[in-house]
Amino acid sequence: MKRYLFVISRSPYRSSHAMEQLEAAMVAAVFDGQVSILFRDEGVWNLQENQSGEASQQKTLSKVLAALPSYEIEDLYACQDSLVTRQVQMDKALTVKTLSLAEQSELIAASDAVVTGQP
Amino acid sequence: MSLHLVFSVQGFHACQCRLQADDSVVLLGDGVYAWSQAAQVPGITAYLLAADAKTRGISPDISAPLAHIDYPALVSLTAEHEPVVSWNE
Repeated sequence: MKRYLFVISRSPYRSSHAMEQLEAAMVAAVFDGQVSILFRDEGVWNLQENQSGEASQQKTLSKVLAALPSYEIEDLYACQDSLVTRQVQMDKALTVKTLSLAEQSELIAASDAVVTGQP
Repeated sequence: MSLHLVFSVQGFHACQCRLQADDSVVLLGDGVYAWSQAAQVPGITAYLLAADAKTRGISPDISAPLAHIDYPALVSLTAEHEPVVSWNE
C-alpha cells in the first residue's frame, strides 16, 4: 500500500488550495492509498475552531476536515511552531497530532509520495 | 486621514510601518488573521470585517478589543476617509 502525504500550506477561503488538496487526498484514499495530511504555515488556519463559511457563501473547511475519517483518512498532523506563532485555537471536533520540525522530516521521509499542490 | 484596507497578514506588515497616527485600518479577508498584531499598534483604530472574521472562526472575543464592523459601516468609513489605501500582498 502506497503512503501518501498531502501538505496544506495555505489558509482556507482565500484560495482553493486547501479544498483541492483535500479532494486529491480523498481520491487517493478511495484507491487504497494510506493517506496522511500535514498542515503547516498558513495552512494551520484550516484547523481554527468556529469557522462559518456560510458567512461568505462558502463551504466550511473545518467541517470537511471533520468528515475525513469516513474516507478512512485519520492521520492528520499539524506543525506545532506554525500553530503557536499564529495563536490558532484548534477545532475540538478534530483529532490532530502536532509535530515538531524534526518529526515532520521523519513523516516526509516515511512517505512514498508527497503532494504539495499549487504554490 | 487615511483608511487602510488590509487583505493579508503580509499586507498588514507592509502597512504597519507606513501608518500615521489617527489613521484607521480595516482587516478584511485573510487580513483578519493579523488581529493580534493590529491590536498592538498604538494610536490607530483597527476594525475587522465581521463576515470575513466569522468565516475564519475569529470571534469578537478572540480579537478583543478590536471592533467587528458590517458592510454598511465599511462603506461609511470609506466615505469619511481620504485616501483609501489597499494592502493586498
